[in-house]
Amino acid sequence: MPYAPGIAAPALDRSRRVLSGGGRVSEAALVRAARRGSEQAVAELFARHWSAAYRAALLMTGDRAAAEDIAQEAFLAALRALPSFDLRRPLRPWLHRIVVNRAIDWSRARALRNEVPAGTAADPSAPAAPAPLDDAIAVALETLGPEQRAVIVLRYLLEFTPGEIARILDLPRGTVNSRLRRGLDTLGALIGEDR
Amino acid sequence: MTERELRDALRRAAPEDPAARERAWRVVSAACAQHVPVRRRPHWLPLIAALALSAVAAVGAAAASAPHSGVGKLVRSVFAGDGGPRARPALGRIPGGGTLLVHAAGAWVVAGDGDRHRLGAYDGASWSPHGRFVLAWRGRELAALERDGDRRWSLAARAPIAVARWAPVDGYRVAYVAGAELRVANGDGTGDHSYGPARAGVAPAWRPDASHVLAYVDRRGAVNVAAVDTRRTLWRSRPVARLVALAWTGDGDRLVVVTRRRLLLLGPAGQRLAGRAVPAGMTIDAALPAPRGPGIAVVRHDAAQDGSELVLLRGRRERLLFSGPGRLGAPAWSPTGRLLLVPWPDADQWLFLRAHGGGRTSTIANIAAQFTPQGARAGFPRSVDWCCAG
Repeated sequence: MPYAPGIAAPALDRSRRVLSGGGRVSEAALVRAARRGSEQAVAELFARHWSAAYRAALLMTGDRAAAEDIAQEAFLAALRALPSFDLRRPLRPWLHRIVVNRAIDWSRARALRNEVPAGTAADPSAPAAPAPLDDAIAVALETLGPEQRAVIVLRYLLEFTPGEIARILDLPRGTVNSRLRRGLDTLGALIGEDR
Repeated sequence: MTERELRDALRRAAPEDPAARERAWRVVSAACAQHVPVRRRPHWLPLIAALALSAVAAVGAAAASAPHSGVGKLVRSVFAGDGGPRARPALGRIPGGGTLLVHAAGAWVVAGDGDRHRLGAYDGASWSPHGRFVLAWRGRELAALERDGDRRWSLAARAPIAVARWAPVDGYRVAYVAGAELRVANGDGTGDHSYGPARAGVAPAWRPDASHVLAYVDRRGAVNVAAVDTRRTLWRSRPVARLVALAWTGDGDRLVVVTRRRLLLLGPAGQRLAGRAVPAGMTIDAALPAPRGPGIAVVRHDAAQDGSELVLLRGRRERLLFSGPGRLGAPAWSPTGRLLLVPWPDADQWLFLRAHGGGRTSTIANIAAQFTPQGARAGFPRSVDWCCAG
């Protein structure tokens, strides 16, 4: 799971993050502790999952403010749902399902408002300025539909398997595989043009 | 590009934002500080209300740097009256009495004392006049059932049935949409015949009297009002975009046409009497006129904030009855029109709200589990109909 070591919210005290005297606490234990009102447990869950949630939302939406809102709301939704969360299920796919679905909704709503991504050339026929590879990826992702972006982000940023993605998005596995294939082909063609 | 290159490129394209992380942690931490520790039976409403209230304290800092913050709407968990009681953990007596018809992994009847009885694995169901029988459908089969599930009659349609409605007052007609066709039969299942092309996504609505006048949507999306016995079309509108529902006011004088963005009130000749658009950024999920009086309960959703509101419209006035995160289901009026049953899937609750404010709000939790047949996956009910007492 992508995690940015060395970047910690100042509110987190790393010395308090280990709840049970050493070693990495299991997620089920953290959820149980969080249910009992342990802010340390919530802090640990936040530390483990925030980065991935924010980055996934950022790649899905291309908008930093929206990404922050979506990731934040996903955590608040997780807090609300903790009492009824099934401890036999892993938290990560469930959390990212919320992130991805809200990012898809946001993208669709933006499309309805006819917003265009910042930096779009005023003259559609003017060639786009060449961009470094990482910005080129962000621009290339924008050309994919929200659902296709979701499978790309879940697979290659968050490293879920196609089977896990199918469960997260409630899709047949074949659909996930074909969206991955088409998404890769499209991205490869767009990025390849810029090299 | 190899998969590894793509992976690396994605990670570089989405760097961490320490400031965003800090802001988010402040909000989550504040919400956590208000968290009610879970005992054996969790109570959703105090938690959600507490989260909403705690988010008020953080919204000032969050809003300045995150202008699209969803916390603002999350904050507005408003309850009419006493601010939200503890939820009852299970369905008991139905507040306000009456009988419920619930569609959840089949059709269920819930008696006034909370006793639940599953009629069968039907795709949908609706009440007969006075709640004596239930009209239920499954695939191409339409059946009239006693309340205990015994079959009175059934018929086989030519195509899968999307929706069926029993004519009110005398119960002498039933209308149903099968495939792309509106069909009408007698109340005893005989005389089944095609009426005309129809759109399946919007349920037909009988005028609440004994005239057998039916409002339905044809394939072009136009609203038709017809006297089905004489096959006379009383009036027809132009096609209406994004139709959600049709419903008559309690006195049968006006037809409420519900679209995603507005309510239209049409008169006896189809003339437009009034229209009401929802605020920008919101869509209507459901609307239902009260069984008596001029009120219309409207559920509307804000996708950007992922929050929903239940408002009561009376003429030009609008009163907020409830708002909360996530989506609300279609409300059901009590037979007297005093209470509204509001499904809240995200909280797995039913709320019983007083339509005219004041008094206690009743809340029942753990709804999905109570309508889950043995061995099936729990799923929140898709619809609820509230009928007469007895």
